[in-house]
Amino acid sequence: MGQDTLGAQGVVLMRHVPALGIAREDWVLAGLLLATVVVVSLLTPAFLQPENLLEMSRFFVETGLIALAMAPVIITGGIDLSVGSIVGLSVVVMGLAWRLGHLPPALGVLTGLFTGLLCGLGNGLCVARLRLPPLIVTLATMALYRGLALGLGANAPVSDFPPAYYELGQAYYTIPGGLQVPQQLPILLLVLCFAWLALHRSVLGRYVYAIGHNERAAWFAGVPVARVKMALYAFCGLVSGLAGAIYLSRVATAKADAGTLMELDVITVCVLGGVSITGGRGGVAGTMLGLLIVSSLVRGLTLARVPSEDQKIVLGFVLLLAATVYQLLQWRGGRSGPSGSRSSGDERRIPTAEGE
Amino acid sequence: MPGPVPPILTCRNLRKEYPGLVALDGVSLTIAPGELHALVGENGAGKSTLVQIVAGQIAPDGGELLLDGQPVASFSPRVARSMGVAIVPQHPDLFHSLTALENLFVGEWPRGRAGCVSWREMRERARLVLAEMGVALDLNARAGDLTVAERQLLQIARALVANARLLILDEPTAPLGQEETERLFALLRRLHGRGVAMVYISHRLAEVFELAQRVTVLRDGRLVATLPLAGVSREELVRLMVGESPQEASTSEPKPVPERPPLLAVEGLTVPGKVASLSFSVAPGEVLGLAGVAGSGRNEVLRAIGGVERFAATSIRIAGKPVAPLSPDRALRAGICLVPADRHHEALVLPMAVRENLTLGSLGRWASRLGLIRHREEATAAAELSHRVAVRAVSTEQAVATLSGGNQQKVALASRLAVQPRVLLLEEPTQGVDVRARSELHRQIRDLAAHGVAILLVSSDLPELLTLSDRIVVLHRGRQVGEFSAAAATQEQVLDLALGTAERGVSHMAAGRHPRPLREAGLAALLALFCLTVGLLAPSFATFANLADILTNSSYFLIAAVGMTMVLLTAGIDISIGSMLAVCATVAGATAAAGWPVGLVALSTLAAGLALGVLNTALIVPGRIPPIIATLATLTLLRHGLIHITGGRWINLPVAFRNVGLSALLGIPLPIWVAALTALATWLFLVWTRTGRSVYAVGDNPEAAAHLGVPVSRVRATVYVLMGLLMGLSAFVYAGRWSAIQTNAGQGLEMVVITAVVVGGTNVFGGSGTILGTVLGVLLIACIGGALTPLHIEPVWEKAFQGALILVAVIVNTRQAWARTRSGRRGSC
Repeated sequence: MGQDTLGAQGVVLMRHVPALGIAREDWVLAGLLLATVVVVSLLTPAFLQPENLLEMSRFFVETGLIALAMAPVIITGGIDLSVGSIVGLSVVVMGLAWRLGHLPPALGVLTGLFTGLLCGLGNGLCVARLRLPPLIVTLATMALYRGLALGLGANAPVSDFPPAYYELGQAYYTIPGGLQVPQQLPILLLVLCFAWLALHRSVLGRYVYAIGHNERAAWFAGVPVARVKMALYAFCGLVSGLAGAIYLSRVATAKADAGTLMELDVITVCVLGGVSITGGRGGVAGTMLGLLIVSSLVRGLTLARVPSEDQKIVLGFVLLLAATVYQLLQWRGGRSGPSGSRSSGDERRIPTAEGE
Repeated sequence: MPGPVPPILTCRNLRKEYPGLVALDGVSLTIAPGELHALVGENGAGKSTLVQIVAGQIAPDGGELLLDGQPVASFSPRVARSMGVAIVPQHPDLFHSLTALENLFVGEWPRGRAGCVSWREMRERARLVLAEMGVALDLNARAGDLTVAERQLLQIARALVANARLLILDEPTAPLGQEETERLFALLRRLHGRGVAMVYISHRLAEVFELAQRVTVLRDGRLVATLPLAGVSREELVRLMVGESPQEASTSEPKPVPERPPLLAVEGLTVPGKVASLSFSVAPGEVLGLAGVAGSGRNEVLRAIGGVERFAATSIRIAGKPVAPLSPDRALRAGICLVPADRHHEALVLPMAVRENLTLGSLGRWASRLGLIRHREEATAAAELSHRVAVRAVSTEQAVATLSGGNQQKVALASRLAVQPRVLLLEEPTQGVDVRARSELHRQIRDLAAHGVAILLVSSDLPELLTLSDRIVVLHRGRQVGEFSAAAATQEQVLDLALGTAERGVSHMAAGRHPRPLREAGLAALLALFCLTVGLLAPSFATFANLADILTNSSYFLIAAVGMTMVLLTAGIDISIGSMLAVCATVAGATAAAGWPVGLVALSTLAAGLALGVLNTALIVPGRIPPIIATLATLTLLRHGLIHITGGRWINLPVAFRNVGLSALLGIPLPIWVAALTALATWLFLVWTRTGRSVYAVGDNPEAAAHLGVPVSRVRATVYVLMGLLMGLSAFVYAGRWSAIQTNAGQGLEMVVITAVVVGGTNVFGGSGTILGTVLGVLLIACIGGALTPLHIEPVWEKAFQGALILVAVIVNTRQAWARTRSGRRGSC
């Protein structure tokens, strides 16, 4: 007591994510990405061709979109396991909408987005208003939404869409230089900008981190915790609906099993990107780096003719490795100062609330 | 007091540092056997830190500790308790979903026959202790349902059950009424007569003089003096505690009584069980102090108006306009702002920067209409606020966690000033703050009042309350018992009323003890009703053969659910069980196909399960990877590793092996036997073994469990290892039912299993749930699945149905658990 100076070593603990949303860990990730790219391009020289890189983006846009919406959810200490099922349900709904109403593509996509939004609102309602544990809620809605997709899509997959439906996932813009940019890539960039602004530049983003670090204190400070969470889960649902629309357009079929196990890919990307499952840490830059590392790896393995089942094994190891490394980093951080690792029981023991 | 016998406790030069704070600085203390020793000091003097060290809960950074004259090298709660040191902490360290009886014995379950937990001995010893204490407590009530006073008594009983020779009581009378306090004192005297040594911590000096023989005074983490109480006066003691106080220059010049209309007018404020129909008003520029002992309802008044506590009121008006502060953000919009006392959990977001904390409540003002923060304006505002309250920090970008207590408190106050409140509610504004910061905070508060803010103040520090307030309202048990102009009041007058003897106010009833319906009975009735209804609609369902078939087919599922129950009881999760099943079933299939004898097949399957359980455990317990991430990874790895190895081929099982799965004993198929015995064994394990009971304790309150010497990590490890082992068994049973093992065996099993366990009543937050409930949950889900075909429901809807069911189960189940925790310990917001 009585010392207003800092700790003995004068350790100054700066906040975790500096203004640009690029944390120290992100440079490690950038290095890892570089290493992955170097290794993959040495194994398959075709990898670094611009055409290949652009083509690669066709396959990661959907995962990337959802990861951008999932990251804020995880930063608040939550999780959404139902995203894969929401993709499936919105795909099925779009298929039904076409079969029953022959909607034009724009309206068809809207029904998908609307389905996703509704699903997200359902999750948000349970988590934010009823204050149920997100893990269990979304485990349940994962089954519920998939179940609805299976039930509604029981009558064979829809695949007789008019060509206009395939714009979103199969068409290309030609940019100067003759390169073909897949249509869905700008969508990802748009959502990326939006997520970056929202998370690192806006009031909402600040609230997200505050909730992740200490929900109770955030609530006491006047943060509308329930509304913030509601918005995050709803957005996650909406974006999953969008990913569903792109998926439908890309694979040209509306099947109920669309997006199965996609939540695993998304969570892998987030965790690899440094988004901490215990809340408070992570950012858009890290998430995107995580996405690029995972997709370079997958693309590289695909080019190297590694079967897709075995790719999953590699991804599983990457997830474990990332979790372990971050755990070690956090642990070391926790020893040099009270780094907000809420799991360390010691923090509660700092004597303050004497009396009463 | 070195006598012929060594002192029971000796502390030498204890030191404890926290970042930016020296909590204890070279404190020495000896307690003689049978001595009643008081420990006093202001808030933040280091009393709680000292006793936590003595109880083995935190490790000192320097100095040594001797028990019975023997140095104790590695101290832990377990060692402390085995040496007869027991602590009654300030904030009850109880297990809310366990019964009062079991709370007494966590960590010390008595062993009976065959090493089992002896519930009979527990009951007998508990009765003895309670009789000795002269207390009637319902031993079967859950701790979460007890009143505050009952919980305190339960804590003391727990120390007595452990045969404490040194009892540490940290503010034991804080939540107690007069009558209960007297009973407690009588008890303490009796214990003292029996030779139990005690360290008694209290802010109430009268109690100290009444009880103790010697007193040790701490101030700012340092030892001031240890003296016999016989030769010291109350005034001297206070001076020792306070030190050379800077006397505040006594600037409480009586202000002209403001004749303005009240800014805040509260009428008929009631907080259930805490405050009864209180009315008061505060004028602009006035500081109204709420006096009262802890538990008088003063904090609840503040918290109700601040929007964090549920309340009812006839009206709350600000400048004549009615407002409804139902949440902190609504209170803020009405101009009411609460600065809570608990800096670490309520007032500040510790890991965030000073700037971010300062502007968190007022971000909207530094943001554009689109919600984007204008960072330069924000930084300027933060710098101004920080300057205004004189926060000493290297930069406003520094994490608040690195600041000293005083500076943290300044940040907490300043962050609330940013919203420019009209009514400021201050809860213990200088608790645990050093003298200099305190006088700076006092100046701030006066300054705010001078600018027309209406201030409502709660402080346990009576002199502070008297100097800062213009007017004081005294509360006793939730009712107003007096009002003074601060200039006219003396400490004695206020204290006298606050401790009030005659009047009876709101009693400390917790929400009330509603009888807990037996969930299992309800579930069983539901199950019977379901079977009956379906049986009537589709007679083919209710035949013995069909039901036996359903049971047999869900045997493997029941075994998995039993394991999952244990995992969820510790507040963990394992979503890799489906993949584990596939791997183990493949092992069973491969060994059986290789012609191994059935016993060897079973052994290798179990061994595979055990190995996988150990793998998960290694990641989760020593590896500290969150269970959801760790098991998500193993889910992927195991499933795809399996596909890689088998190449996705089916494994056909030899007929000889399948005959085992199809055989029956006493007319009941073998799988049912295995599942039933597993459930029974697990039930026995959970109810009758110490490790089993630890599972509940760890899930309910891991910190308290650690304090009582329960090996938390080992318990967590045990459940994940057992989960793996049971998946081995489950896979063996599963393999026996099929003619071939596919690589997608068990896909999505985790989902159905968690559904069943949650439907069976296990709390996903850990700590409560039974095997019987799980069995019923499994049966219900199995019957629902089995009824789809007889009822001609399309199986495509089965999954949607399951999802909806689990959602309903979670809503019903968790709402109950939440209501329980809310009234008690965790009070999540």
